[in-house]
Amino acid sequence: MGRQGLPRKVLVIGSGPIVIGQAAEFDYAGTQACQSLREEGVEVVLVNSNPATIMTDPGIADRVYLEPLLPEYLERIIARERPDGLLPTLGGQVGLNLAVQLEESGVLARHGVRLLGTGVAAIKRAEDREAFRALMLELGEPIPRSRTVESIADGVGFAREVGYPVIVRPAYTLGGTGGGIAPDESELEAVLARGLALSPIHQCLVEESIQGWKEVEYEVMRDRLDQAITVCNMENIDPVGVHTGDSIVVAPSLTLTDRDYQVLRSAALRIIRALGVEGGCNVQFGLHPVTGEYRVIEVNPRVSRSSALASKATGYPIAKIAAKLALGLTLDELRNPVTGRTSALFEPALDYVVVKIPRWPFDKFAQADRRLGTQMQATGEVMAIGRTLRAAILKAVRSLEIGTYHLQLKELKGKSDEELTALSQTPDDRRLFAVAELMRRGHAIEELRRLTEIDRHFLREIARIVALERELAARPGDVELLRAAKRDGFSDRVIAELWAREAADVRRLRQEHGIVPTYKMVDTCAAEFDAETPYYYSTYEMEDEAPVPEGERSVLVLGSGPIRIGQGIEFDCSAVHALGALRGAGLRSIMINSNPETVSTDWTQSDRLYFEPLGFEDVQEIAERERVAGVLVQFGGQTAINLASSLQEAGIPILGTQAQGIDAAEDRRQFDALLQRLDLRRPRGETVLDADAALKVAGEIGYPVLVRPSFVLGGRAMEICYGPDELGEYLERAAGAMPGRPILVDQYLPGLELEVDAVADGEDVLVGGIMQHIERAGVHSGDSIAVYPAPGIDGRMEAEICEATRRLALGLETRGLLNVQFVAYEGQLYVIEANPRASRTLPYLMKVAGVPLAAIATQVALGRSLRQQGITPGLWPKSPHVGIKCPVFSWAKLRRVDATLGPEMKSTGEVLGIDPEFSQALMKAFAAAGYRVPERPRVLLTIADRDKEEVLPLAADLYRAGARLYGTRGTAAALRAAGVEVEEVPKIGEAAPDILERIRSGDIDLVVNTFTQGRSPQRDGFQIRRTAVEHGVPCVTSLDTAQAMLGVMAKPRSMEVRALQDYFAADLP
Amino acid sequence: MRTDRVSAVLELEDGRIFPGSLIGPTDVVGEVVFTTAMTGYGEIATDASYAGQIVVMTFPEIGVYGVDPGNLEAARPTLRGLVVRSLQEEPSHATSQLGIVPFLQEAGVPILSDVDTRALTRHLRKAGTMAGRIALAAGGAVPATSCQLVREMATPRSYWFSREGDGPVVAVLDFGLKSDILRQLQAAGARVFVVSPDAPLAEIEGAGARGVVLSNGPGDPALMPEFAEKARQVADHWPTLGICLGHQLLALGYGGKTFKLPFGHRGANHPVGHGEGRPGEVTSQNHGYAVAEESLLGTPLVVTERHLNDGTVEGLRHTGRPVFSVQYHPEAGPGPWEARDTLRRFVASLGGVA
Repeated sequence: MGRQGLPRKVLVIGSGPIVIGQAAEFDYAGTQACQSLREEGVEVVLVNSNPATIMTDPGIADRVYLEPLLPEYLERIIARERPDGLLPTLGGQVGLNLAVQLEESGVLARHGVRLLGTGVAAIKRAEDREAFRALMLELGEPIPRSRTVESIADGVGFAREVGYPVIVRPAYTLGGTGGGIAPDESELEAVLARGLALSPIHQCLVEESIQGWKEVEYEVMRDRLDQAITVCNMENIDPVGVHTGDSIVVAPSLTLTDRDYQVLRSAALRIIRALGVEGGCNVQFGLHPVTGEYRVIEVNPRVSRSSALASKATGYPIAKIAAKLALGLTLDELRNPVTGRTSALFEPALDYVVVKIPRWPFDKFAQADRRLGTQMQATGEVMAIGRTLRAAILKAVRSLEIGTYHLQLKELKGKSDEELTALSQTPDDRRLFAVAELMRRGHAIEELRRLTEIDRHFLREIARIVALERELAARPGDVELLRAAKRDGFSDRVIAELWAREAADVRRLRQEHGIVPTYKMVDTCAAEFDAETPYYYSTYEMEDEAPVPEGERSVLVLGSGPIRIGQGIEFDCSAVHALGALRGAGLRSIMINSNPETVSTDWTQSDRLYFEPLGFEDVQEIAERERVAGVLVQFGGQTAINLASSLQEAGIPILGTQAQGIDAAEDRRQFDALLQRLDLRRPRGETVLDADAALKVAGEIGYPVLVRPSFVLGGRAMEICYGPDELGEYLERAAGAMPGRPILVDQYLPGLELEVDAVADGEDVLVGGIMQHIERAGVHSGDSIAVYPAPGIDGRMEAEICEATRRLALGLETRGLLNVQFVAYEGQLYVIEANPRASRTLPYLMKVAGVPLAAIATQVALGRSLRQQGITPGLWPKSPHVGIKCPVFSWAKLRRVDATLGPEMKSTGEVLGIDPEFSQALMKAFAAAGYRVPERPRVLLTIADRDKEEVLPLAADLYRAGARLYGTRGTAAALRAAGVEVEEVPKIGEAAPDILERIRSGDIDLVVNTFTQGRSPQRDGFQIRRTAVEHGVPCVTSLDTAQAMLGVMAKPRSMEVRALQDYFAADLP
Repeated sequence: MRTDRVSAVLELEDGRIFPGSLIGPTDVVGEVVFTTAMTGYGEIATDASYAGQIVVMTFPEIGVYGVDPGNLEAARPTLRGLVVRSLQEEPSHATSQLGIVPFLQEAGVPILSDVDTRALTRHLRKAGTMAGRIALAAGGAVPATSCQLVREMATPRSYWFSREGDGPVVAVLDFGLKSDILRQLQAAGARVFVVSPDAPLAEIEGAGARGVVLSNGPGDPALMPEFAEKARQVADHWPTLGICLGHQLLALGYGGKTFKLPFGHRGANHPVGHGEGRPGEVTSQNHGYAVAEESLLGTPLVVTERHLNDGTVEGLRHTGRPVFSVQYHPEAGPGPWEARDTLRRFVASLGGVA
């Protein structure tokens, strides 16, 4: 124990890789908590396997361990660091479960570590269904009638008692994984089978349905003196039935009377007090819209996605305060960090309305089941702040980046009323838009109320947006309507569309009439006290309260918007590095972002935070009022890059690589011409506009070919086609989605894929490191396992890569970051693509190579050359240790998505394995990614014909190493012919037990399945993969991954753990 | 469904003008105050402590859940005017009997909407509360407000609120009381007798009261010496609980002083600490004046609770008698319910069957 009886050294457990249900919010919470603990003089040891986070930067904690979040590794770290406290409630469900395991297995007691804050008893009472039910009964708090079941028969029996529909919630799973609503008995059987398999304790709760009730959440905090507050309440626009993570949410509640509000608030406080939580807690309620009776749905005794949202919605830093409460400090002795003067024991008062809309991955997964239910499917979310609900809704919609800037989806215009009615009744990600579309067609509020059960108030506000559209269309150029529309959150672009004018004309008109945005502060207290929070949102009001200081040089950093597949937390991490570098350079840093989960939208990270959509209009207004010296677009992913040319045209300086340089890399024709000029090779290919041309080009190049639409993000809709039939099928699908859009047809080279992140200043180029992908080219780089330093290339190739990068950077006139992907095939180096921006690999490379590329690039963009920064051009010295990045998928959350790797990116997150030894690093990476394969595994092989020859040596090795092999008929025959013993498993439906039953029954430890073309769910391969991932059986679809995994399987694990600080003598980014 | 609105302004004493859209009468004058409570505009509109005041709601969306007559603090609106950012006329709630617009219109209370209420609040916070006028145009003089508000708000004749049961009789001395005080005393088992502020103490005696609650109410307590004197007489005879204005009058009656806060405490999120290791709590508050702590020296009153933001007095105790008072509103309405126990404890302390 150190100062004032506080712990001396505290272990903080992070949440690991980003998966659906556990995203960037824990980076935000963890980073804030570490800083909060250090403010109190506590030494912080952090463990998290996710390298793409700010929290794992060596500057955030005293000791940072990027090790697998598994008890055996944690025990090693505890033994090595000897912390006296452990903070379990900041790392999401993963961190919480791990802490409970460590406590229960006696590890903590053995090493004298005390759990801080909320204790295991409280955690278990909130998390264990039975214990929670008992507590609620004891408190007299109403909960839905339910039964915990461990078999399908029990569940069905209970449902017969309470009637359908019933809800199934598996115990101890993330984001409700494996749960669902069952409308009838057959569906219930299916959902229960899945839920029981996914629950680590094989338990599900079957529950009476309160579908259609209002869903309301409270974020509550309590300290050891039993002082408790609610930081925020939130009301879901979607009534109970849609997972709260998939719901559109407003904060604070809008349709609750004071009585409703206080009834639920008092219940939330009774619950947190009874649990004895010391820190933050989330309580979810269902509230009957007519009778006013309520049910407690769920309690999370930790910081959560909702608490991150509540922090951003109110300005009150829940994680920061929760960390201090866990140390034993109390609310009454802490100050509100926003005002600096008033007490932390208070409840924020909002004078604006916040809307959160989830961001779903269905644009990437055409086959996915888009319906929303009790299993969360969103990968990210956006938040918007407005003085009215209407303004907040419209700002949130524009923040989503789904190809619309208004409450309107083009694809719905062509749908019939019946289709839209169905969409409103059975919600999917488009419901809000479907409701608006039906209103445009004159459908009445009451009808929509019946269909959706959404509160009339919300429906009326949507109707008012639609009514204003109509008025605008009827009176082009009307200034008072323009004013009203801007106050309601309409973008210039949609007004222009309704008036058949250009957005710039609308802007000019409103500027002539003084209709300009004003910026208001988020201050936790509705202006009651003076606050200096540099946290603002736009509105159209009388007073602006964000004066721009004179005589300071300001630089704007664009964030990356909502987390989605292909644009994840990595970009936020890089953007935060850029903010830090600006501060370091003595400049005023300004951040614009719309993502409430992230570190970049923590108002302490920049000199000024604008919580705004990343639309052109929104960014332009801020850039102009702030009179910025320039905008950094290279850190905000494709979101920011896409704004570069319009900002530049508007006369706003882009710092670093200019718009032309970005276009030269993204535009196929320009890029080809450049490569030719630079004498760099690339796979043969052409851009075509129709199917016939595509087939002709493919015939010339030779199959296999890689096809994709131009201007892609995360390899969206990209495929490898092995023959004309497959290509034909692809073209039919792709052309349907994007008629008239160019399609790229490329030669597919099954070589070694390599990747670099570099910084160029116009004269010199620094290559931060060369990473090698384990999977051969064809698997999207974001889904590949990456190894640094690249083990498979010689000095000659290394030099060639550096030279090619140098030439490319100079040719593209890059000023700042450049990511290049190569393929080495038969001794030749080919350029696949170049991205003049921060890449997905950047945070990973910065951490393992110890090279602060983001900060260096920021300096370059500001005009300081590499040499002026004292940096030697060329390849940054290779590290003596190995860092391996392994992708992590959220297969189980996404129904009907094919669990296979290909050129289209599908992973949601990543982990790091770092070790002095390659094989140890690889083992750690697999362990951290959740692949648990025993030493003598039972491996099921189902291999496409073209891969059969290649799989034979692998199978033989496996067999010799003691694995038991299973195969479907063709694969088994091929293996037997090669002398490998294998058990044949019947194909689906052939004989009982068939292959799916074998997987379900737990007979298989690993599935190796290579992909056959054609993505219909009826195909056997699809069903095999889905069954595996839904039952938690690792499924590998690349032979390269399988080889890597099985190659290290039999090796002994050294279990050595080391802090990042130990790997480097010098300072890190 | 939208009531006609006309362009109008709120003009402040210091000349600042805030434009908006008006429903209801014009040329209405009052002290302009803001409340940060996010819910309960109906309760606020009927809280007599707001008598004579034009209330600015800092929460922007007002009117969504209509008005529920079962949850008001008085049958009719008591405030002088309401200023909001976004007025929602169509209620959406099962308990709503009518919209906020007809409710205030019937009572002749103007609603000024579409106002930049945040700018207005920032101004009041910096410049202090002041008089203002809701008018069609700026330019009229803004006179100071009247102080005879208690008699306007309080009952002219004493009456029984509830007589059933065998619980102790509690007399509530009405300075402009909130109905929630009566409802909760009743819920705590008391028989409740409401006493007019000008009634002789014999009425309290005659009702057989075991204890007295000095209610909340509007206005500057320093201008009500007769009520302060009465508060002391009550406290000298009965176990007494003072609430808000009642608390201030008690302090004045025993020789303390009050002062005007720069912009008051109005909201549902005010932290109060008891000290002595007892947990602090979040309370509902609505007051523009406070008891000066240093003025209590030499009186029989001691401070039991303080505001955690500015340290002002939030609770008092008599050193020799069962007399207590709180500056905040234990009955809530609107606001958090943590302090409701104060009323229950008071009733319990009066003993069982009379």
